[in-house]
Amino acid sequence: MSKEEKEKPAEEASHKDHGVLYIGVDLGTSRTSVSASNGVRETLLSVVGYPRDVVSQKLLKKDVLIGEEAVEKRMSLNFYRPLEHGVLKTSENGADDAEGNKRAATDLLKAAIASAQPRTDELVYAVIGAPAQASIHNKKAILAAASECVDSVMLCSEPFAVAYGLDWLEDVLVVDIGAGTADLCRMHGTMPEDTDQVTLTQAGDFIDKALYDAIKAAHPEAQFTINMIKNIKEKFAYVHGQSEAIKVDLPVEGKPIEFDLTELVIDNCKKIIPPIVDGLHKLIASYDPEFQHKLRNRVLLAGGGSQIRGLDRAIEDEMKERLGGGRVVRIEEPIYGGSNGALKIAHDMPAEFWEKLK
Amino acid sequence: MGKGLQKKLQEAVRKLSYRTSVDQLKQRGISKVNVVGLDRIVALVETAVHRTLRARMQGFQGLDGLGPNAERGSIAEDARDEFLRLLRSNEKLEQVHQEVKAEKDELESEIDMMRLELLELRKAVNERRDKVEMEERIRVAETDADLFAELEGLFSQAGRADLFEQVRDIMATRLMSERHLLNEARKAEHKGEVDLLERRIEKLTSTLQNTEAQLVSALDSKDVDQGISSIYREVQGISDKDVFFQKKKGLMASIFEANLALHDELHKAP
Repeated sequence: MSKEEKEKPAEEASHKDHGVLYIGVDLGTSRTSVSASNGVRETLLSVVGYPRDVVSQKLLKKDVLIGEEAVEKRMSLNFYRPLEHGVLKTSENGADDAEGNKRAATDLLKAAIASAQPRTDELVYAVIGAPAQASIHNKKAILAAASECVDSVMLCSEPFAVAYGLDWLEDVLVVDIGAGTADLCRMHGTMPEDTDQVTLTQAGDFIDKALYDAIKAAHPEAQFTINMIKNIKEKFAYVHGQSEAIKVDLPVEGKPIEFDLTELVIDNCKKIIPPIVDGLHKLIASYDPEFQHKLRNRVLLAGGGSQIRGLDRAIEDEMKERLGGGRVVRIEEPIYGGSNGALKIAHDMPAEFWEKLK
Repeated sequence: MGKGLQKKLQEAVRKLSYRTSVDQLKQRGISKVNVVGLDRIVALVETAVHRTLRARMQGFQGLDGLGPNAERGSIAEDARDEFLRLLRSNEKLEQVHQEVKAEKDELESEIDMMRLELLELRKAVNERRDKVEMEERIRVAETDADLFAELEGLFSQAGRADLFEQVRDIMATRLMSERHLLNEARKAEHKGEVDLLERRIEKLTSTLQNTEAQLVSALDSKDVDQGISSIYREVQGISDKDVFFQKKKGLMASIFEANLALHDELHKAP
């Protein structure tokens, strides 16, 4: 690095005298949530689109479209979902068009940071929640993308951020159910290690796919997309207790017909419960025997996937049957649990640490 | 905070807000709005009070030692002033934003009008050219047909029908050449009109480019979106009153070390 390059950030920093904006980001496969110390909270779909040709570019008047806007205009775009199973699609995990996905991930992160509406005269310090078992290569890619738009950035494990945000630092098991992965993390007062974390691919996308296949098999005449199934799940899904029948209109040869999907939705949403309880079992069984009962009774459910109604009770039932009991608490704001926690970590990080990472 | 202060703050917020309904917003073409939540207002007030108290705390042992009502009243007054200042700064930002938006809308509508006019002019020029050409083609075809029919009759009457085709070809070549000269003369006659239209097109194109540049610079120069201020003026860190202070300190150090290693790796990479 040349002397000029080294001096530039310091020069820029000297103009950033208005204040410090902390940003917490939960970079998810399906949604990216942002919480900032200026009161902004935003969530955007983790999709990016680029105009296909000059005509689309002129029509859309933009070079990059993010989130809902990209979904709406997807027919005129080269469309990217830069994350899969909770991690960036890179050449390392054999993704097609790794370069395109890398560019999309950078643009997604930039849009996420911009959505916090930072002032140009404020220092921007960000903590990004990365999947518990993301590879070094993947973490480096996230860091490189984020450091382009903030003054200093750190990564932390997503489930750890959730627990930290709620001050649950000891004898806690966090289950963070996202779209791509369900991350389980054991908190014991110190930084969780690899042995404290379990990542499962049975999460939101897994349910969508299973439900899609099941409806296709049961009602081959119905026309639908995976996106429609995801919307049905988000609107109606429940897995415990009695609730209303799930009746949904789906087109059959262009005409909307009502289908009763109650059993299909319940059965397929329940499919994530056994692997989650397997993971909990593994983490509880390998914990200090004196404190295992505490761990079993302090399971924290977070992430967008935890919004399936009755999931906490259904996991408790499964734990009772297989682990002899347990208590599951769902956090109040599943969508912002990770970003709120990351924001709290950013707030608590001492100044000298931020400085050293600039 | 005293009841009097709360009432004044509520009045201030009320003065700066206006009532509207979702339907009214829709009628105005607004589908999305920025909402300032109660938590944001509370955060602003808290910051204001916090800043004022911190400035005043130097002479006190702690909050319990605040003592005299008069002093607390003064702090509350200062807090109210600070809150109003923050609100006014937000209001000023909104005003600048509205001004720039109005300017942008005006310039965009001007550009649209110019584009339309330009399109109409180009269309008029092309239509005029097409019309002249078409009229000429019809006139020539009609004249030639009449002339050659007359000639053919004359040659037949004179009993020299065999010469007609030769004469017709010679005449057609000559006529073409004469017509070409005539066309040039006609074009010169219309040139003034077409030139005038083309000059208008050129001028409009240049004005359009200037207006578009003006729009870009208007959006660039005025800080339309200055962003939203953080509630923190300086880097925070864990409060030493936090019940988990030691534990959190250790966790922060661990996160930092892991990230430092990651940063080093990142900068080592080619």
